Amino acid sequence: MAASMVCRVRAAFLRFESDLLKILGLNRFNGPCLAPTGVNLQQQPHQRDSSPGVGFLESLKESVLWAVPRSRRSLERRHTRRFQHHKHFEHAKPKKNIIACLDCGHWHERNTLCGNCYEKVRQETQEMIAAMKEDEKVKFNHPDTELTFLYQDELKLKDQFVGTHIVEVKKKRPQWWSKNLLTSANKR
Amino acid sequence: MNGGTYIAHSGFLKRFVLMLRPTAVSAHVLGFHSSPSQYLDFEPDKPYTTKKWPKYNEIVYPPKKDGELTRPAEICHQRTLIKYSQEKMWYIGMMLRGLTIDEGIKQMTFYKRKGGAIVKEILLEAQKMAIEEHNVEYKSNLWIADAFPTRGYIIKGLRKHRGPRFGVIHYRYCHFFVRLIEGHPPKHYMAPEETGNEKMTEYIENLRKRKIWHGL
Repeated sequence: MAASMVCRVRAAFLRFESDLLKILGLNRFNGPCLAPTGVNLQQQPHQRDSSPGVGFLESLKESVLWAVPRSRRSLERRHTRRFQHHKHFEHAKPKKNIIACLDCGHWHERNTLCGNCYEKVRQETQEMIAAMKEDEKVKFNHPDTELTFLYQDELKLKDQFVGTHIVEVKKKRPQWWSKNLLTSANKR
Repeated sequence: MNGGTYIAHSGFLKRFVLMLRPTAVSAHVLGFHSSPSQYLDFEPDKPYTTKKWPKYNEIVYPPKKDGELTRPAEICHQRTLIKYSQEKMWYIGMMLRGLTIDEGIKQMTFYKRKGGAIVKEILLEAQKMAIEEHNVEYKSNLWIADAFPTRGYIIKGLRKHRGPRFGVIHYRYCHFFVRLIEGHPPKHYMAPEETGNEKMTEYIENLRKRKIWHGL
């Protein structure tokens, strides 16, 4: 650890020495290197890149005012920049992922449910919830048994659902109801 | 309407808007919403409308000569003073140009911005007009030849920051114009992008067109 410390201190000192020599203009090329012909190897004071005809103020402007617009941007360029579609969040491209629902034929995006079908199911759910809220035992209470929703045309099946609480929905069951939903997964 | 008039809409959350110029207290400040919009503080006697666009519907062409193709029906419809930014509407218009009316309505159904719902209504109104007033036989046999917005009023309000700092709010209105033409849309509404070969031939042609000035 002491050795690495010494190395670091030495490296820092060498750097300082080389910087100092650079400032004073006394550094020499150490070791072999390619020497281009016609180049004055004596270090000259740093020349500005500006042309010889440029006065003091111009050279000052060139060094001070670096990143400044040269000329006014035309309306065409401004519009082209602002309305490029890959930059602006408002870009409107026609969507190619719109498909027709196989059941009802309404349009919907490919990774979403059909809005029309969902609306139909949502309405039905609202009616079931309304029936639940009218039921005396469920209105202000949470029964400890499962709920079974029976529609008007199924009331004679009450005996099949003995351990559950039956909520009567005062309408006919819709035709589109899935048969899977009518049988319990746990039922033996 | 001057750009410096004030609005003082009480329902605007977390902002209060100052009077820039003393004008008469408007109906909406008092709570009556009979003007076309909640930001406008005047009630025009007639509904505000731009005058030229609907006049295109009133052109009567001379009778068809023998051998001339039937001129397709053209329906020009507009909606004025939509409380929406013209710049945002421009993107919608840009997308709709060259689409069939059905495709346009379908796209607008799934454009998830306020402008989409507005433009969908405009397209449906125009389609209805086509059937009822312009003797179009099939409502699907229309395509969108023109769809573009222009600016309406821009009413300026102030938003106070801390200290003596204020920000200007722009409440923007725009008009939206739609032209439906009967029939199928053209294959390329906008010029199609050039293929590599076309670009190459164009480049070579340009090289060959060069002239040596003051040469022999």
